[in-house]
Amino acid sequence: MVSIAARNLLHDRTRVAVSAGGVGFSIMLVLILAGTYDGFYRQAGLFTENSGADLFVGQAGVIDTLHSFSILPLNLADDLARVPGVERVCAIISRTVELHVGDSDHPKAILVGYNESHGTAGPWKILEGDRLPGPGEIVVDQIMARKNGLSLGSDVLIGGKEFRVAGISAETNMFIMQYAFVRYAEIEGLVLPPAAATYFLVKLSPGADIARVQADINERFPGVQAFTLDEITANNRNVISGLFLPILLTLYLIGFVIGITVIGLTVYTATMERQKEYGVLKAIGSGNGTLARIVLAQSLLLAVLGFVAGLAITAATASLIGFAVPEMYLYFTPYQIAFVFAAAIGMSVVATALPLGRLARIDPASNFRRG
Amino acid sequence: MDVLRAEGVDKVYGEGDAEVRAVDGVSITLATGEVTLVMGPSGSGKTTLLFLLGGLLRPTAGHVWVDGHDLAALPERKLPGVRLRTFGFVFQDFNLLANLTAQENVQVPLELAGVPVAKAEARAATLLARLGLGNRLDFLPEKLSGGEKQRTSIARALANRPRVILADEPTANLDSKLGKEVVGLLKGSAREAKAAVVMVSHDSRIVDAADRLLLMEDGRLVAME
Repeated sequence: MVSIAARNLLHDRTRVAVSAGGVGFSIMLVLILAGTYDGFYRQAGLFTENSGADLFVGQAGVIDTLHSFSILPLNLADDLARVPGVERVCAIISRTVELHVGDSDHPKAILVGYNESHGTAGPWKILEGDRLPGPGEIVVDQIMARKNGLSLGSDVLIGGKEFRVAGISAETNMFIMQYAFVRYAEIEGLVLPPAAATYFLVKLSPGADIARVQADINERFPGVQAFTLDEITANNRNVISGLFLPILLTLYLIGFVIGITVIGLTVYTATMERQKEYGVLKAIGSGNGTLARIVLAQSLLLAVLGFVAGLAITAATASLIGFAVPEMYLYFTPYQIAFVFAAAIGMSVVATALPLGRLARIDPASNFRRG
Repeated sequence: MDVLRAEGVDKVYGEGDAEVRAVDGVSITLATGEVTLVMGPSGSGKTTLLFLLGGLLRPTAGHVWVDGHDLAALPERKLPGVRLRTFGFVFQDFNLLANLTAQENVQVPLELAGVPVAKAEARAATLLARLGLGNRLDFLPEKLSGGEKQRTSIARALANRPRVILADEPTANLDSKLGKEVVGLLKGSAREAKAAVVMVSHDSRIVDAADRLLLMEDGRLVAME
């Protein structure tokens, strides 16, 4: 049965291409929207996830690193280091600044003063150059580099101080802004008052109980709040969820409904176009059950072909987007791809089931005489 | 040997004043290898009779016995299976599946009957070769001439070794020479396969090919020769 269905479907390459293309573009629409949604969500947590800390300590009341601004005295690091279970404490700076590139470009960046002793809060993925910038050096995100014509050796001014680009990083884009990394000591007193930090990143001793250390810090230092990496990452993502994701989710849901409906219509139309052929099959002895299996096999085959085409179209579109709008970070998860595949298959089954009643009523005798 | 027997078959459409008696009390017996030609004016009920004999329509009254089954009493779900294994159909417009090659078209009833693909391919190729289409196996219908299409259609009708072949105007879309050739092939193949053939036609040029001629008028058989 499947072989009849497959041969009947695949011989007409133009019709298959048009139908699979229709399904494929719908898949692309859904996947790009899903990729945008997941990209936004993932981006919001990448910095904290890759910070190398066990606990993130900020000013009390500041629950994320994106939306709120924390400022703490640098000498607090020594007090934190004395808490049992703490191995080391690294002060970092993270704040939005304006970079001066050339004569006219002033892109904004989330400037991170990483801890040079341990590499804490430094860039985690480097495309070119050094991972950790040295004195007078800066690592900039690839998108910022591309948009502003920066390359290794280029000069960037921050608060009147010159930095030389020593590395180009990846995964450090944050929607409309990008991360840039310099040594903490290079910007202490430049973007914050002297002897200040925005966060302390705490590394625990081996075997230390993270919950106990967290509670201890919160109890001993009323003006600060400690978060586990999971908590601060979740807080960052929740901030983004609250700001942008409802809009993206709405767009995604609309796109999903449109995409899945187009898949359904394409499969439905492809089925109805073959009514005469199904009438012939009924006349020569195909029962309704057999006919349903043939129709279903054709629809599923079309859905699978369309899905494969959709993946290829999505890959091409994602490359194009990456080139034209580099800030738009798309992230495709296997779960999301599997979900869209399941939805496409499900819709194909529904779109096949709808006309089955009509196919069952085809009069096999109708194929005998014309006119 | 009789392969099909119809007794007092009626087919009535509509009710009351709108009632049309398309077939009226027809009784007929078909024997192995026999070619029966049904002729008559348009609207005389000959195509309806063909539908009734082939299980494509249910009679309003009467019985159609084939292979021990009364088609009139058989549940709807069993009719396709009987059509598949007992009957072969030849259509006026050929009704080949446009996306399948000649060989694949002949394979369809075999695969529907559960014959494995490899065996179905071999039988289809043999049948087409026997009908002179051995060099057309991979041709799509659009690449075949009218005569070749009808020969493919005959091969398809013969695929499951049917007891009865029903042909509706098999020569209507063919010229005189091709028409005679196709009917000759149909007759020869049916004899070889020990199948009875019923042809419905307006084409008086094929009368000679028939073993028996039935004339219909107003739903009744008015003459048998």
